Amino acid sequence: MSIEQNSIDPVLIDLFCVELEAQAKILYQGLIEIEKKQKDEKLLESLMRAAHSVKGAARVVNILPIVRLAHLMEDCFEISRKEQKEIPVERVDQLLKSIDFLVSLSKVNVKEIAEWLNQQASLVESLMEMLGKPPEYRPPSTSQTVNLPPKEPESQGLTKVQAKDLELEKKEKKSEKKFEKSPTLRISAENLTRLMGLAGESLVESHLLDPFADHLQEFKIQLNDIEKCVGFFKKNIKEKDLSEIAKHYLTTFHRQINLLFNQLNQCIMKFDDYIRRHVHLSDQLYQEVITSRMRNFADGVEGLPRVVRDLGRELGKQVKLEISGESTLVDREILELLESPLNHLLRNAIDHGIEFPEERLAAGKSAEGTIKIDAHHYRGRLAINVSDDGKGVDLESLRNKIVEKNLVSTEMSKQLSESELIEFLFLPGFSTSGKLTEISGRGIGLNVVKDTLHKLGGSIRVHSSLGKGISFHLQLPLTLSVIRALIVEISNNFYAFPLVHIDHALHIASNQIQEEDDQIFFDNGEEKISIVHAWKILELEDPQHSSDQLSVVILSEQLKSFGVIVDRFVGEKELVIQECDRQLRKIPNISSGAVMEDGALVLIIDVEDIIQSIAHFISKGSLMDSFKDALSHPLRKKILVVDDSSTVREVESQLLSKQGYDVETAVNGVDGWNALRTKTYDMVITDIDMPRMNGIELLKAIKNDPHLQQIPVMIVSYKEGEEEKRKGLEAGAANYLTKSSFPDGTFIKAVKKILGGTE
Amino acid sequence: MDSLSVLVFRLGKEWLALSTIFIKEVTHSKPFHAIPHHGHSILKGFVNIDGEMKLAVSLHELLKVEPISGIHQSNRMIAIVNENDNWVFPVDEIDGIYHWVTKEIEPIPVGSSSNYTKGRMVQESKSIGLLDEELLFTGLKRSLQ
Repeated sequence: MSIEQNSIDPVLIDLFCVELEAQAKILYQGLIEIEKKQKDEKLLESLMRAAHSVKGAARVVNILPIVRLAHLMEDCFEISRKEQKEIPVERVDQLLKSIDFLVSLSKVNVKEIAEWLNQQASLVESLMEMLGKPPEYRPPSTSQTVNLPPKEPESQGLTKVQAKDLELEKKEKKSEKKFEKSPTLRISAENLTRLMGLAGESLVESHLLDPFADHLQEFKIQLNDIEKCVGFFKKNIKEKDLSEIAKHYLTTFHRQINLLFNQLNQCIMKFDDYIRRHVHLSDQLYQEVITSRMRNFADGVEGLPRVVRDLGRELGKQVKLEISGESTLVDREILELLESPLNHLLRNAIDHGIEFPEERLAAGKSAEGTIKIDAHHYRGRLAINVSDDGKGVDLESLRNKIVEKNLVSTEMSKQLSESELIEFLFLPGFSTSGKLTEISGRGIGLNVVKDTLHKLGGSIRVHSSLGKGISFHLQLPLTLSVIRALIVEISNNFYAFPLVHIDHALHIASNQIQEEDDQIFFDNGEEKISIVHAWKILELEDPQHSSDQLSVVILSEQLKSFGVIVDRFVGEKELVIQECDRQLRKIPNISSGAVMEDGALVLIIDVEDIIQSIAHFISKGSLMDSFKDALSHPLRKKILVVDDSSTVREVESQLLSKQGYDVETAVNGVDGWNALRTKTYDMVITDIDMPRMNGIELLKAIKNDPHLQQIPVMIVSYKEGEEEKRKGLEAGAANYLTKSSFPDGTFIKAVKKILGGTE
Repeated sequence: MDSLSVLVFRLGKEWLALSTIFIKEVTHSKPFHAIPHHGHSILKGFVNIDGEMKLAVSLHELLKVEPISGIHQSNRMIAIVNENDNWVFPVDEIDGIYHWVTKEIEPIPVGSSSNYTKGRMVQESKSIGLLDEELLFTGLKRSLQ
């Protein structure tokens, strides 16, 4: 049963997708909970309501397969409620899969929904089939032990498990006052960026009021001086020398001056008040907009209970996830970037940390392991703890492994402390797991976690207790959108080095500089640090700055340090980051930009990038991928490819660049014509059938233009007729090929004939 | 549409007009921040518009208009926008906003060598070229390559 795109109302579909997302969340949460609290009436009802809402919404937008799917889901919950039956774990699997499907549907582009749905038709059918039948017992894929449902503990651990359950119930009742999410609003990223820009500018403008106030004060002072003058005048003139009229005017004059003075005074006071209020308001607006980037931690960990459940099932372990600090505010970008590290840590915990149920019982623990994730603010940073009550790290076996891998001698390994040992876990390719499972053991996970955190300006620490568990402590900045940086001047513009990535900044007297083999060094007593001029690395204009002192920023990575010479240090500031590469490709060595409080722009240095550039510059004496170098390839021939098909443009570009030509493309005749008027090309290759201006028209235009007529034009077209060929050649084409000439080299041969090779 | 609302401005000796749909705002000139590794003639750098960093270009360079020496240059810039592309360029003089009757605009045939304009209008004894926004925006994008 296929769906027509034009039977779908785009506005309604948009709302439908929003609704799907919201209901899916409820269904996910509810399903995970229902597995632990089977037959809970309230939970079942809310699940039914959610499924029912999806059904209703799907009816409104007239997508029948979803209506049927949602109906079947609703039935599952209904049956459980009416017949007081538990939902078997296999059924929960199926329901989760169905929700996955709904979530992917909600993310599809509105214009492509019909096509997508039709493609997914067989998946939907199979989902519906599964839900319509009674569930088959499907054992978990790697079953080393039979998965023990929590209600049938072995008699040995009976009392212990029961007691634990009771305690949990008490705890849950206490925390039933669960974290309530405040109503949220959707807002596009651009909107938010504009708001940030305007709020920032408003703050800048409000600071500009101060000079005005200062000027007014000056007026007041000058007015006061005039008043004094008048006073002295009156004192020093003899009354009898003044006529009546003169006296009258003098008095009026004095009085007016005084009046003016008082009025100005009043005005100044009101103005000062106004400035104070205005700055306060702009400041609050600004802070509020910055905070709007924050989201609740809960939003970022929504999917984790499901991950834990599925993994536990697959590995034959019983695990539950406890999350606290859901209302902790986290920058939305950090939240997104946290998803991957948290996933890694969870996988590690379930695979390596949490033991199998029998192992746990034998060790006197509950059959079900617990992983706790907690988020809170600590000392102006975001602190996240991930801990499990598994078996911890076996330090001795770790010690052996390290020696085995020749990372450290046996002697040294004996002297390593617990925390030093654990650091080794973060090395790439390191894993103490004996086997490679699909999930972990490759030793990649922890290394990635550390890397991701480091990139965000954060850190990770580990504590392990053998037999009791392991905990990871992550520390992150509160927000990525604001960073503290050292502002410097380079070639008359401002640049910023994020404080967290620099070693230090200092002044070096020019007599402390040493030169050796064309390199500049300075000796800081411990090592020789190479230093380079920032303007050279960034390919800016030589600031012609000379002074006895050099301002140098020291950057380091692993073991090497480098110094970057700037014109001068300006100061330390907090900057609100703006991306600067939306229209421009990534600028080498620059990560982003910011607007300072006085409206001046500053570009933020990408320290990781610039270290690479400096290293390259020092060893090779030149810059990597120098832009200027790329420009000055005067010997390379430039070809303009004009075709409205992106595939053809791509194919031709590739073929030509491989031969060493510089290729640029245009999407139709007009675009090509425009390109020709802005740059010089050695040759044009064009299609014929294109919108707005076809190849023949373009060819004629070129031949009629005195500046362009000598450029050879080759036609490459689908049209193979003799008539077409004749028309092309008559119009002035240097050659006429068909598109079948690509594979057999005719195309390249023809180009070479016209241009004569690549020199 | 019977009429077209345009902003008329001068670059060098040339009077030009652009549909106001694409005009974001007209502001005073502001300093540009150089872009590292770009020894570009058309791309001038970044500039602060309403608290956001935008790209500043020289339309004089793109349209190959000679600057006139000696004549006082205004300190104005125009910020234009098309979907997600933003550009800012300095101009020599701002005339104002006018409503042109579409029928009266003299079309310029596609393929002729006039620069980026798609029409012409005579107003107060000035010959004003109506910029072709499609060519303008793609031309600007192309200049980044």
